Amino acid sequence: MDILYVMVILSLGLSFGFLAFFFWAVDSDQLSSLDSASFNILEEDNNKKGTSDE
Amino acid sequence: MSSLAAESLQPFVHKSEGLLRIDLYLKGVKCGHCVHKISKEIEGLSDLSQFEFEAGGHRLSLWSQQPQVFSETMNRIGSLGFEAVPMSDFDDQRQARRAYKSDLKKMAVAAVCAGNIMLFSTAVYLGAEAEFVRFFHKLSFFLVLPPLLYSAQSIWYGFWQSVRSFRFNLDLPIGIALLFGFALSTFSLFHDQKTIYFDSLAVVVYLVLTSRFVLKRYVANIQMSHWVQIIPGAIQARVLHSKGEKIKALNEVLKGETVKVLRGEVLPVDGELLSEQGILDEAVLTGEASPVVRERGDKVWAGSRLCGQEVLVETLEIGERTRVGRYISKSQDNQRKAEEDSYRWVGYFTGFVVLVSVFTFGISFFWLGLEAAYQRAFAIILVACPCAISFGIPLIKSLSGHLALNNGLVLKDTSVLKRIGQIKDVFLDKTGTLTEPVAGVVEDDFLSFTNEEREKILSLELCIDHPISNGFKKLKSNEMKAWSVTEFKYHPGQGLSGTIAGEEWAIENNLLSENKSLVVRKNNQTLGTIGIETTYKDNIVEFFTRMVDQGYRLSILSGDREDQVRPLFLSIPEAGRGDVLWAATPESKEQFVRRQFSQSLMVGDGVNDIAAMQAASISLCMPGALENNLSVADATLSRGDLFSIFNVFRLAKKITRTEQRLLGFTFTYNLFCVAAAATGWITPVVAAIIMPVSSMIVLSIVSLSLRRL
Repeated sequence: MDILYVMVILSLGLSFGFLAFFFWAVDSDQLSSLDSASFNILEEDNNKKGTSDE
Repeated sequence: MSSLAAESLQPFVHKSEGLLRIDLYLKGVKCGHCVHKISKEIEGLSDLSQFEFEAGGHRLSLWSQQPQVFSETMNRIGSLGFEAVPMSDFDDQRQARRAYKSDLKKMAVAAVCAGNIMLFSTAVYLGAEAEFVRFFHKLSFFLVLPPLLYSAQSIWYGFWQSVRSFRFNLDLPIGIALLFGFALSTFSLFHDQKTIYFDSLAVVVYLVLTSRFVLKRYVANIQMSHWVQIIPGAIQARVLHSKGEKIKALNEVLKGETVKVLRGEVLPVDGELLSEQGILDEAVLTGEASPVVRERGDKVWAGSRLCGQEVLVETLEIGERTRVGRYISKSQDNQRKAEEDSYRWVGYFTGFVVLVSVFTFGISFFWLGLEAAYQRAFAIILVACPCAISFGIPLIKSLSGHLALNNGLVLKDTSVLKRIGQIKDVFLDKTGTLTEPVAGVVEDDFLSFTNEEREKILSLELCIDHPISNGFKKLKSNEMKAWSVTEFKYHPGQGLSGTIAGEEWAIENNLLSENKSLVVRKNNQTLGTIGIETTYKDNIVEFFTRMVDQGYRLSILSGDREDQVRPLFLSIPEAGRGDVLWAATPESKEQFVRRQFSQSLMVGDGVNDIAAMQAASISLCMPGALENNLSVADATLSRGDLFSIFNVFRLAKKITRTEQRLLGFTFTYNLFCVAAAATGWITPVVAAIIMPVSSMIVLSIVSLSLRRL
């Protein structure tokens, strides 16, 4: 049953890993312009080309 | 006050409206009460010329001639427990973004910790061995610390504010329950007892934060969806960047970004013109129906319609910070009062909830023991929600101004909607109110020109969107040839000119003379004139009939001769025909309105009707400069459409009905849920789930009820 201790610690490590990844995503502005995304679909194709690699 | 502090503010001070101005970001402001407290504290400062709260009280602008008073003001705000941070022009957006990111992180920490604790709790409830139970409890103790110490900061802040100011807010009972729950669980952990609630504490923190975040976004979305319609057609902006252009939601446009506007579109932001020239219809701000010419570097305003070629604009202000947005915000001054009232009621409500939970705790402790007593008291605190009074009704008040606007009416204050239900008599001014402000083009005069001349006149007129040009558009037929116009020039108030097929054409306005007309010139020689005639607004008789059907009595006041006024008066259905006054002076109009004892509505064009408008219970102004109109009238029509009045009548009824519905829901919800929590039917975790759901229901009621008229 001792393996459970290891598993618990591992799972905690994993969840905190995801938390760190989420912090990185927030800090690098991945989640800061959610409202504009819905407008991009309405853009003309030639505009899309310019913005897709932003 | 130290001079050093005053000097350190220097970079943030700028000139505005002939005074020095500083913008402050206020940390810790949560409600209308906080704003009220700060207002009371600083309004006694004699050197402070003016102050204004914005962005829900988070932003405070100060005006003064003495820069020293700014640091004094900041100290006073600090003494109340709030922090005032000076902002540069771009800081408010940065602060808002920082707060958004911080909220996300706090929720994520609470989610991860609560999720793990819940896994351990599940194992314990399913009968884990004693050795593991102790291990899981110890781990839970460490895992509950980040949610309590980091994620729950805003709750502790509200809790502390409440304790300091002896005023109840919703954070007070939640804070007490969290503190008590943590102390009890920690004591139990070290004494091997069963009353351990780390799982509930972490989950509650997560749910409270998430529900507040979602509510904040939801309210912002509802407000935004109404806000964007203030500037009709401006839901998004075409923003230029290094790789092309991108369409952005209006609330995500940043100051300093370049926005492209095409002909016929409405400017979505306040800004500085980057293009050589822009021809703009600024009627929403100035009331002047004719377009104006703006040059590079000039300020241009959101809400103006572009009548000429596309332009580039550097963004200076967005949303409620724009000039038009500020007028609308000013027109809702009584909203803060409504918020203060609502927070006072929230205070009473919270006090009552605390009493009920303490009482339940005492009774349950006596009969059922500590565990059940804590569970029940905590569940009551979490499930009780004054959602209607805390944000439902303030939201309605805030939206009602916007809704009126979307239906063609700018209100000076939203109490007009309450008073409008009592109106019996309606007085209508004739000229400018019942007639079109810009008259139609006399077709016979136009037809007196040769075919080619007509084509050229039309080609010149159609170079611009203008009320007179629009009159010409009606005369255009498909067979007519469109000539190319070069060197087109618009001379505001005077007319148009341009070169067509080598000939110099000009159409000059002669609108001030008795016989309003346009003079058409070719190569400096007069070809002829085109008359401009007075026309009544569309469906004026239908308007009269509908007003009378709804029980109003209509009277007409006019400075014109009897033979011009009487036929119009006789077109009012007899059942609702009031009185008529012709050859009226401003004084006689006022006396006429004062004679009526019932609640009355005066509709005028704001120039010669000012006295009569002030004599009526409610005054309504025809479209014109917003600022001037709102200084004389309770409301102004943003479009010339008289039928907007019916929308406002409907809106007033709808708002009353929605408020009743909200209060009914909140009362029923609290009655049943508090009773269920007190009798142990609802656990704290379930309560923490139900409460935000009830808040969402309240918001949905507001959103759905007020979506359409």
